Amino acid sequence: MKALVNEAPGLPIDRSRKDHASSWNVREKLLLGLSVRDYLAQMMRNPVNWVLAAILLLGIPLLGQRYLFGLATVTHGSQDYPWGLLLGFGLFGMVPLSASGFLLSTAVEIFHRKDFLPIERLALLNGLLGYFFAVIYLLVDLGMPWRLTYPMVVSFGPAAVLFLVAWHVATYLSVQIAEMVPAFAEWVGWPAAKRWIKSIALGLTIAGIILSTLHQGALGALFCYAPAKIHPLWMSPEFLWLHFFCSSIFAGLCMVIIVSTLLKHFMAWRCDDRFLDNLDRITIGLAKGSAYAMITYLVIKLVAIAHDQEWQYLITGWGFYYLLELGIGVVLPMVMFARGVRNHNVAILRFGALIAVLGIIWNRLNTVLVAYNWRHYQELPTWQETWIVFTVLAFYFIIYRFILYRLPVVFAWKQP
Amino acid sequence: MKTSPSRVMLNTSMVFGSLVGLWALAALIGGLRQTGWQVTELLRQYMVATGMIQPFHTLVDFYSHIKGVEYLICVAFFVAFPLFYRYVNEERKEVRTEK
Repeated sequence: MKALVNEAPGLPIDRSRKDHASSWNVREKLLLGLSVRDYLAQMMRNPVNWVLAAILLLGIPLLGQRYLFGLATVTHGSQDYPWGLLLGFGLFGMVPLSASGFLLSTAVEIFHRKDFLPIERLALLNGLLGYFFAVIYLLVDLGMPWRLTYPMVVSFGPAAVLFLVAWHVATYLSVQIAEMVPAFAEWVGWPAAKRWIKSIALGLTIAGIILSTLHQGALGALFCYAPAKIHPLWMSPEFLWLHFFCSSIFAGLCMVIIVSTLLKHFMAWRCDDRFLDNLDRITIGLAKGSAYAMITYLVIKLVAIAHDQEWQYLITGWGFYYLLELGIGVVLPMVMFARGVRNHNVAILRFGALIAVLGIIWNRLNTVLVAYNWRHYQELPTWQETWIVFTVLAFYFIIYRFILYRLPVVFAWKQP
Repeated sequence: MKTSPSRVMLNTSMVFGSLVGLWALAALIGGLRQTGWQVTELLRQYMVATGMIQPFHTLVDFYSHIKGVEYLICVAFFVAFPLFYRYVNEERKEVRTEK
C-alpha cells in the first residue's frame, strides 16, 4: 500500500478535489484512489490479510453455529458461569480499553490541552469501535438481537444494573458517533454537518464524561449480583465500581499509546507530519497521566482490602495470585512510566503501555472467570468460544483499519 | 587529617543503619526458624501481632479498626502522591560537555 500510494500522483487521498477540474468520487475514495485490480492486488500481498482470512474462515461458521444451535454448542456457559470469555474479554475487557474517547476529548475540549489535538480523533475512534464491538460481543453472547430494544423502549427494568449499563452504552455510543461526524463529514464533503457538531462539541464532551464515568463504574457494580461467588480480594461491593472506573483511565490511555505506535510503524504513509512529529511528546503526556491513575488505583485497591478486612487472604495462594496480578499489571508499568517519562525514553513507555493493557484484560478475566466460583472450580473456555472471540476481534481490526485508511483521523483533511 | 561534621554524621548514620539492618535480619531469620521456615505463617503471626487480623465483637470495634487503617492509608497517600508527582515531573538535566 505504501509503495502504491507513493508512486501515484495525488495519493493518498487527503482532500476532496482530485485536481483543478474534478473531485474524488465515492468509489475512488473507497478504493483509496486505486483501480479495483490494484486494490485487490495490494490486499492479496498483505500477509496480515491472510491471517485474518484464516481466522474468519473457521470463525464465521462457528458464529453461525452459535446462532442456529445455541450458545451451549460453543461455550461452557452455565448457571454457575454465566459470563464466559465472550463477556470477560469482549465486554469487561474492551470497555475499559475504550475509555480513551472521553479522556482525550475532555483534555482537548474542556481543559483546552490543544497539544493533544493530533491524537484526539484517534482516541475518539478507538473509543467508538471499542464500545461498538463490546456490544457485538454482548449480542453474540445474548443471542436474539431483535430483543435489543427491550431495555430501551419495551421493558425498562430500572432496578437492574444491566438497565444502567444498556442505557449508558447506547447513549454513549450515540455521543461517540456524533463526535466522529466531523471526520466523516470532511471525507464525504458535508461541511454543514461538521459545523453543527462543532457547535455542540462541548455538550457532547460533557455528556461523554457523565455517561462514561457512570457506566465504567456500573460494569464493576454488575458483580454485586454475585458477591458471594467472587473471591473477596476481587470483590468489594463498596469499591469495585471505583476500581473499574479508575483502571479504565490508564487502560484507555495505554490503548491509545499502543494503537498510535502501530500506526507509526505500519501505517506511516497515512499519517501526516503533525501526527508523526508530535507522537513522542504526546506519548510522554499520556504515560504521565497513566502513571498518576495507576498509583491512585493501587491506593484504592489497598483501601478496599482494609475496608473489607481481608488482610488474611493476602497470605494464601489466591493472595499471591492477586499480588502477582497487581505487581505485573499495574506496579511494573507504573514504574516503567515514571522512569520513561523522566528520561524521555518513549520505547519503554510503549512497552509499559502494552503490559498495562494486558494487565487490565488479565484483571477482568480474573474477576469474571478465574476468581469466580473460587470455592468450586475454574472454567476453561472452549476452543470454539476462544475462536469466536478472535473472529470478532478480526472484524474489529478490519473495520478499524478500513476507517483509518480513509477518514481524516491521523491526518488533516486539506481544503481545496 | 580533618573530618567534616557532615562526614561524621554520615558515617554514624551508616553504622547505626547497618546495626538496625543486622538486628532486623536476625529477627526475621529467628522468626522464620520458629515458624518452621514458613513465610506465610510468619506473615500471619505478624498480622495478628499488629492487629491486622483479630476477632471483632461489636460493629463499632470493627468500624473503628477498618476506618483507622483506611485513614492511615489515605494520609500516607497524601504524602506519597506529591512525591511521586515530583519524581515523574523532574526531568533529568542534560549534561553538556564544556569546552
